[in-house]
This record gives sequence, C-alpha cells and structure tokens, in this order.
Amino acid sequence: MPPKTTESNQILGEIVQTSTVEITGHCHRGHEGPAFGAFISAGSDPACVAVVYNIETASLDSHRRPAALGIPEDEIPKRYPQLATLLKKQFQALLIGEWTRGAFRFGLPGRPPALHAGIKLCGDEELRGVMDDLGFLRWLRDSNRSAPEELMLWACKNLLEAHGWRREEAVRVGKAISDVYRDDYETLRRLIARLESWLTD
Amino acid sequence: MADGLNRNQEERLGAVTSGSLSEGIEMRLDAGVSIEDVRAGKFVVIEGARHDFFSMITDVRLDASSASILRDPPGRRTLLSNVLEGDHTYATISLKPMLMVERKAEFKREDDLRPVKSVPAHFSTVYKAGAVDVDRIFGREDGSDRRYFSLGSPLDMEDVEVCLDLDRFIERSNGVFGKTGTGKTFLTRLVLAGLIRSNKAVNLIFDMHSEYGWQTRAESGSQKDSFVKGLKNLFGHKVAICTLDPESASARNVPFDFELKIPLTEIEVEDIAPLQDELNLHSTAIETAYILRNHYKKRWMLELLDREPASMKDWAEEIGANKESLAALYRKLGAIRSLPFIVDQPEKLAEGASSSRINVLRLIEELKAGKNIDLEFGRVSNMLAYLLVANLITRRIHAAWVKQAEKYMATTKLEDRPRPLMISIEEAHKFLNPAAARQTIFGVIARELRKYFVSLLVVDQRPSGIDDEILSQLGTRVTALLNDEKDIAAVFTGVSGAAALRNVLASLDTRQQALILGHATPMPVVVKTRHYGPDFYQAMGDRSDEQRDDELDKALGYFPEG
Repeated sequence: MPPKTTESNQILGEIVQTSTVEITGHCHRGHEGPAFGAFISAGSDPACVAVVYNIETASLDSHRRPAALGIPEDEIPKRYPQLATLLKKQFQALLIGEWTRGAFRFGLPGRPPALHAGIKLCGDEELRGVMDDLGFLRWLRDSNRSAPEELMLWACKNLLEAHGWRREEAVRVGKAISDVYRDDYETLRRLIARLESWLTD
Repeated sequence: MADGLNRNQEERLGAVTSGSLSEGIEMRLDAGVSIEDVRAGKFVVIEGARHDFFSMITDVRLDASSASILRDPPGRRTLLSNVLEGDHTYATISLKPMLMVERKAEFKREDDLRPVKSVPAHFSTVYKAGAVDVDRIFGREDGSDRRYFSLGSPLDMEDVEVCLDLDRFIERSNGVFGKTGTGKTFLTRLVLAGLIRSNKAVNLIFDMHSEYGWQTRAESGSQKDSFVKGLKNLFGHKVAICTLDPESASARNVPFDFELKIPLTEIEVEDIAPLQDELNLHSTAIETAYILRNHYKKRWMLELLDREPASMKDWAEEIGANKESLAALYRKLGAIRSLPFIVDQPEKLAEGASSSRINVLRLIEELKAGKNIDLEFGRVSNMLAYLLVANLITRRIHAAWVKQAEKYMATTKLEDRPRPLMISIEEAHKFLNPAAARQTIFGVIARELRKYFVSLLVVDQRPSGIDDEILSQLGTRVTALLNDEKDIAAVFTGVSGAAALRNVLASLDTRQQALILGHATPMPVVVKTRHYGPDFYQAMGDRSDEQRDDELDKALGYFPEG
C-alpha cells in the first residue's frame, strides 16, 4: 500500500479503460483532472503508479461534437449551465510501477488495475518514494506517447516539487535524465537547462 | 588489516576499469573524490580477490564519455556540469602496480612481497594506502638492529614513515640526484646520518663544499638562513672531520680532527691521468710522465717540478722524452704543486699519533678502524683539487680493501671481513662520465659492486653526464626534482617500467620531495623528506654538550666529587 498522505487521498476519478501498459481515467464531476506529467495511483494490492501523458475534454456523446459558442468564456457557465454535464474530462496515463511492501518498484504491474478502480493523485511522500527508482524515465521517452521529452521533464518537475526543489535532488534527477540521453548531448543540454530554469525560479 | 575487506570505505578512490601488466592499470575515480586530491606519486592499494596490489599513481587524466560534451562544455557550477560530473565527465587515473601481497593472517616482508605478475580483476576497488600498508612494505625504524631508516613520509601521509633498508642500501652503489637547489645535499646528509647511526658501513665523504661535517646554512624552509648541524656535530666521535684547508676550517670555527697533507712523492701517474681534461694534458704528456716515473720512481714529480725550465731540452734528451711534452707537463703540473695541501716530502710527524697532520695512509687506517671521515675542501674547492684528491685517496682505498677482501676470502674468518665502506662523491659526473669512468677508480668501484665491500654514493645534478653502464649498476636512487629530459632518462637507466615513473619524477615539488627507487626499497615511492631539525637530532641520539662531557669523564675514569 502506498504511504498515507493528507493531500492526495481524494479519489479524483476512476479507470474507464485499462491495459497492460496504460490506463484511461474519467474525472468525477467537480474534480479537476490531473496535470500533464502528474503521478497518479490506482487500484489496490498492489497499487499501481502511472504518469499522465494526455488530458482531453470531449463530448460525452460521441455523436454530439462541440461547436464554437461566440461568447466570452466567463459567461459560458451562466448561459449554458448544462454544458458541464455533457462534457467528460478524460486522461491517459502510462503505468510505470507499483507499490510493494511500502516501496516503489519500477516496472509494469503483473496485472493492470481493475476497471472502475479509483484514481488518486500521488502525494509528496509517495513522490519521494518514486524518486528512489528513476528507471522509468527511459520508458517515458521510449513510449513515444504525446511529447516524450516534455513528458519526462514535467514528470521530473513534479518529483522535484515534492522535494522542495532541492539542488542535490535536481542533480540526481538530472543524472537519471543523462542516462537516458547518454548519446544525445544536445537534447540533454536542452532538458537540463529547462530543469535549471525551474530550479532558479 | 591483513584481511583487505576491513578497509575503510571512506578511503575508497575508485574502481579498476582496464589495464595490462605491461602498461599499468587504469582506474576510474569515484564521483565524490576531488581530482585535485589525487596526485602523481601517491601510494594506493588495489584490493584484488586474493592479493593487495601496491601501486603508485603515475598519471591523472580527464575524460568525457562523448566528444560532443567537449565541443560545447557546460558552464562552471551549472546544473548541467553537476549532472555530467562523475558520469559523463570523469577522471581516469593511471596506476603502476609495484608489488603484490597475498592477503593472509601472517605477513613476512622477506617472503610475501612479490613482484607483480598479474593484474587485479575488473572493478577491483582502489583505496588510499594506510599507515599499516606503508609499514608492511617499507618496514619500521624501531627495529633493534637499526636496519630501517626513515627518509620521510609518503605524499599526504604526514605521520607515516617510509624506510630505507640499510642492509640492502650498502650492498650496492647508490645515487642521489636532483637539479641544483632541490635538496640533494640535504638528502645526502640524511642518508649519511642513517648510515652512521646504524654502524652498517663506514663513510668517506668528499665534501667539496664543506657542507656535511660541522654545520651548514639551511637554504629554505622554516629554518632558512639558520644553521643546521652537520654529521660531526650530530655523531661526535663517530665522525672525524679531515680538512685540506685548516685556515678555512679555523676561520669557520670548525673543530677539525685531522689535516690531510699529500706529499708530491705519493702522487702516482695514475692519479694524474684522470685529470687530463682538467689540466688540458695531451696523451703524450701522460706517456712522458710514465717515462719520468720509470727513471725517478716515487720522486718523478718532485724531479720534474724542481727543474729549471731552461734545462728541459737537455733533460728530455737525457731521459728519452719529447721535449715539448716534457715542457707542457712541467707547466701544467705546476698547478698541482701550488695546491695548499700538497707538500714536497712526506712529513715524519704524519706517522705520529699526536699530530693532526696526516697522510692518506693514516686516513685509510682511520676508516678501517670504523671512523667516518668527512673530507672538507675548505677554500680549495676547485675541480682540480677535488678530482686529484678524490681519485688519489679512492685508488689507495680500493687497493687496501681489495687486499683485505682477498685475505677474507683466504681465511673466511669473520674478523678478516673488510668493513663495508661507502664513498660519497659530489659532482660525480666528473669522475663517472663515459670517458673518465674508464680511467678513474670510481668506474671500477661502481662496476665491481660489492665484491670488495666498497660502494659509492654518487651525488650529482646532471645524471645524464654519467656513464650508462655505471648508472645501470646503481642499486638505489634517491632523486629530487629533475627537469631535463636527458637527466630524467638517465636516472631511469636500467630500471624496468620506467616510463610510468617519469611523470612522477617531473612532477615532484622543488623542495623536500624525492622519488626513491631501487634495491633498498621494495617499490618506488615518493617521499616528503624528513624534517632536519631538533627532532631529527634527538632521533639520531644527539646528546647535549653536558651529557657528552659526562660521558667523556666516565670514559677517562674521572668522576666528579660527590
């Protein structure tokens, strides 16, 4: 089981599609969806950890496609209050590991989490646990989902935020990225520069 | 620490990545170790599966995993530079394994220090050497037989001693090298002090600049411009100062024991022959000298120098010599007569014990009796005087020791065994250059080695001037900094695997550091030399003047009242 956290215990949605490598989640009404690169956990025994690589808002009914409304954005809820119930917030996430005996293990879970399993955002303590095994960064890049470099960076950003942007952790994460980009110094340089710009902000 | 697994992980430097027996080992430095702490000459231990490999750092190199990093290097102290450090940019250290020792409970220095015949496996851990390692290899000074003498400590290991094995040191001729101002004299004095203290060999020092006997001015360090004690000052009656220039000695307040005089009748043609260069003598002049010797025997030089220049022509015809050669010989040997320690006739007093004026024979008797002699040149420190005296005395010594050694061979009695003698010569290339080495007795001694119990301590700033054959016979070399490529090459003549040591030698500090390699140390090592000051005097058994007076009183059978 993942360590108990205070801020992340709320279930924000549930799994609507599940497979060996990735899950798709629906947000419950009234919940903000997870951000790009966010770490989520789903299921129990073992709880799986996944990184969100795609977020979309679409019509619940696939035959009804949204059209331009032509009014200012802040007036939409007042004039079309029903709209929120017609739309769905959906996200896809890559499975990267699971919690076994309180520790994060990088690797695909033997069984993917069940359909309709609740999805939670990983809290800071869990994120610190995930930092112990950064091997999944290569996976994020090689998955070729959405923008792999960006995905990796945002995942790292989330991890470092949980550590209060400590420099030694940034170096550790940087070294893990450098392992992934061992043969591509130019990209590595660009990624680390981004990381550093966040670090100094 | 016989079990290598007990090593402190904080002493870890890195892991072996590649290597070969012939070219040495490459090690990757751990990310956390500062490359600036890793210096050439440092002593490290590679922990193999069953053996410890004692090695020396010979080179330090920066490497990068990809050339593109070097094309566009990260800024200093940026996150990128931190990220790359240790993984993509790293230091590779070259090591030269010198000895391998099997890890087992009992360790015997004589049997267990073995030459390296293999290399440690991949990723073997490399540690800084500890005090225990140094003791295991170089021995400790505390032995009752005074076999080991500490010369200093390894780099970065202030409280550990590196010892010279004096038993092995005296077995062969040895060299002290270093360019001028790097502490050659200091090193030599240190080694001599060790030898005198141990009584393992008797020393004759040709002290051209009068630096070893009584006291000398320190040229650097905390004691700069103060005076440090010489050997006589340290060891009292064990050392006698014999001077060639009593006036200079008196002026400097040096309490000399003897005053050496050399009568012209004691100078042989063979003593003059090596001075050809110095006197600018033609080879026919030497032939002429032999003709004179055949006519006048011991008095040949006296006869020559007493002649009137005008009578040379008739005289040449009379003895069958070339008149030009004879005239040249007359002119040039005149320089010898003008040397202050040269006298015309042997002095009767010289044989008497009461006189401080002695001749060469008496000097040799003192040496045979075990007295260490420092022969000071005072103000006559010109090359002519130095070459003449050193060559003349050493020839006689050689003859005496050969005779004694032959007697010992015949009787095989221990009391007939000649006392090992070590002759220290400065400016050694003057005696041992390829041309002179064949003529001077020093060449013979250096080659014959220990057969006759006489060996040399060659002190020189220009080892490349010394004959290769002689260099290759040197047992132990103590070398301070040398810059000249030729000199560095010369120091390593006859040393296997020298290429790796060259970097080490060229990177020594200009002061108080020396590379010691050869017969008297199990492996080459760089030492920060021992401090020559009050602590050293104490260790050498120096006593205060009062103590010395008391002992003298006792020896004379005089006890103060009460």
